[in-house]
Amino acid sequence: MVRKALAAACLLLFLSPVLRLSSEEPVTPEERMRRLLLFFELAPGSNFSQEEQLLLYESLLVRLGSASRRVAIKEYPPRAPTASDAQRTALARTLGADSWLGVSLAGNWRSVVLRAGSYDLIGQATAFSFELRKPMRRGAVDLERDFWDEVTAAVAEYYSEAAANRTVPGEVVFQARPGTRILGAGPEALRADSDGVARAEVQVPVTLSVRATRPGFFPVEGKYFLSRAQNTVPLDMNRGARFAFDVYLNNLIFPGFQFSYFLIPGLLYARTGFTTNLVGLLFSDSGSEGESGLLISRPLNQLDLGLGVYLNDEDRDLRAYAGLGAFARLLSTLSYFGLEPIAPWGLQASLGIEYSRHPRRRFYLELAPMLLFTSRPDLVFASFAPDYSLVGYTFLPWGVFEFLNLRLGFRWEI
Amino acid sequence: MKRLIAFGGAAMLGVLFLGCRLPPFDEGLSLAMITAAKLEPVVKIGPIQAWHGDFEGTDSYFLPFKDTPASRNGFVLSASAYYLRVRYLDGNGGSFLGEVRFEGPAADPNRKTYTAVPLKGGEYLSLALFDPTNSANNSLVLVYVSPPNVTNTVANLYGTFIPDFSSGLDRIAGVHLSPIDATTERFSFFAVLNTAGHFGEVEADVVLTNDGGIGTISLDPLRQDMALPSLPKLGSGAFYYHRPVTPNTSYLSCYDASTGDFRNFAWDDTLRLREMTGMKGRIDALLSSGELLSLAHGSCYVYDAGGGFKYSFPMGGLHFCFEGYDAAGVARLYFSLLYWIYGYQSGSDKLYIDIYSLPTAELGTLN
Repeated sequence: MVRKALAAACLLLFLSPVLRLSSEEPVTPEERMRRLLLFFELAPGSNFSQEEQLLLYESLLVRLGSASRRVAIKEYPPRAPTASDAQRTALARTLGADSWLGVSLAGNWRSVVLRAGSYDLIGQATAFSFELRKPMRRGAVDLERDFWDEVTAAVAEYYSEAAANRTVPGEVVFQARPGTRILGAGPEALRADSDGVARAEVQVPVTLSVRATRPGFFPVEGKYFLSRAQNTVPLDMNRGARFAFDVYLNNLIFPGFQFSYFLIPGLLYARTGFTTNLVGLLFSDSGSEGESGLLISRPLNQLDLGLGVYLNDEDRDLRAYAGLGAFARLLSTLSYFGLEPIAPWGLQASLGIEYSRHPRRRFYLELAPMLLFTSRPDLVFASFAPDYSLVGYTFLPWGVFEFLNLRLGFRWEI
Repeated sequence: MKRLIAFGGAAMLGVLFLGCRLPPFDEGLSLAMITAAKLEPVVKIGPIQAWHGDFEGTDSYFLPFKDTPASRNGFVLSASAYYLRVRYLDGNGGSFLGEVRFEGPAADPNRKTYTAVPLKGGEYLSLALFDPTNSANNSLVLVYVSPPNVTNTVANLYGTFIPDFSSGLDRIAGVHLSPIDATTERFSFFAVLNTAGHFGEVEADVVLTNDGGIGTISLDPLRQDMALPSLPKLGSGAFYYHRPVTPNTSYLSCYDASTGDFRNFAWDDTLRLREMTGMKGRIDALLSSGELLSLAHGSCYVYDAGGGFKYSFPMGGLHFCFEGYDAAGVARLYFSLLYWIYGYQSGSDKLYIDIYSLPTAELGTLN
């Protein structure tokens, strides 16, 4: 049976790799022939012989060739699994196609699991995606008759319709602030020129999902419909936050606050903060003498100053940032107010994540490791309470590194 | 919502796991180092292997020997609410060699019941012990080192020094020691006499022998019987100081139970009692410069001879030991700082002691 089918299939091999339906209705010049790159893959664990694979592939090729007069099939010869849809899209662009069809088969000759999906690069939309289990009762006959009907119908329906939309080459013009980076109008990001204009060639009509970013400004994201009559997209961007204020608990014990000034709004900040140990909430036994209960008080304060940068855009729910600064430890007793003498200052990094659905009010958790400089590491060591855990500290000849310092807080951008 | 829950949960778990950590800070140590940075280091002692628990609940400090403050040897005193322990520390050998222990409360910060001063001439320590329940038990004990152990000798020296008073002696309420020369200490005693409102003062120049015995004694009944009727009724003991230069000013700090504060008085050869109301707290030292020191709240308050406040500086865990004269005859102040590095999960606790000094004339630099 398989040999018969193979012989029949071989008859089809005269067909070109690029098949086109010889329709009774010729394609008019305004209608654009769609170039569909075919990815044919066998899922891991599938059980098909070489002959069966060839039959399946060739029969699909033949059936697709007659699916629509507006669709030309382009083969992707390796027939190897591609990593992702994004990779398929990239390959399609590279090979000159404007859409792709991925067909993946699992199971075996008697029971085939068919997954098919297609993406329209022009429309920037998924054309279709489905999964079917197809029994193979009569082998090659089924392949010749109706095995591929769902795939060919989906291709014909979507791409005939898409082609009928009569998309034509056009141009989108973005009006934004100079230097604005614009994503969504092509494979590459655009950048607005000194006049605030960025242009890209697109097929119109089309709906573009555009994201515009510019340091110092709140990103703009939206869908814009473009036609031959309307091809200008104004991208009005608001300036990012200039100030921020936050309150926090350092190591869940001592309160503090910070004030930030954004040198580049929403991106680069200078931050100063103050943490006091004069009053704190201690939920666990400190292990130190004479300290018990919920409240703890120590005449130690920390004043810090640093620079930092946000690592992703201001409109993201989850934002990350990193910074570096210096701090001074201040002693505040009735008899003395000034620098703490044993470890008076140091450097402090900050690695934080913010979360909120509201871009101006955010919770944050920050890892703020500290490097304390001291000429007397022994006295820093002696400053710990008896039986205190030293996990998270590294003692150096010239300093002490505390790398598990945490801050949990809430930040308002102003 | 799921992301919010995941974020919040992860954050809380992380904070609970890693948080609740106190920064490395010891107020006493930090305050001490503010002043210590201005002092001249004399010697460092340690590490001494010791168990910190043996010192817990006590106010512990180190007193070096007066003649040889750099010898690394001396006494570690631990005062608690129940006892006073005096341990001899061999800082070179890194061990404690014996101790003497005196039962009774010693660590009430406001009603300290003893004064401890190292003496010249050898490895001596003078302890004036005041019994808060029975002033008849007040005693002056001389502790000296008798290697390899510390021992105490002459349980009560008062009888040795105190002459008969015409009004009859009720009790010795205060004692002050001041170095006179290389070998001689001057003991000054304040006596409560049997006649109400009458007090006596005695000076005794003592040369101590190397074996801890008493050598030459020169008694001077400074003021046999003086009437100080406005002096409040004294408890078991008071803190008494005498400056043996004209006009022979004496000072007395006595605890006023009604206010919970110390009241400070001064008189001189005119026998006119003057209360120094400008002083807050007890007089803890009288310096050769005539300045008075009061140690409280982690600070040292410096007053002039008339009780006028001059300035203060932080002390924290720093302890004022004594004033002595160096080989050049310069009066110097000695301080000690005792601190621990705990053994934590492994290793034993280690005790360290730093000793500092400063010429008395430069005390103002600590301001």
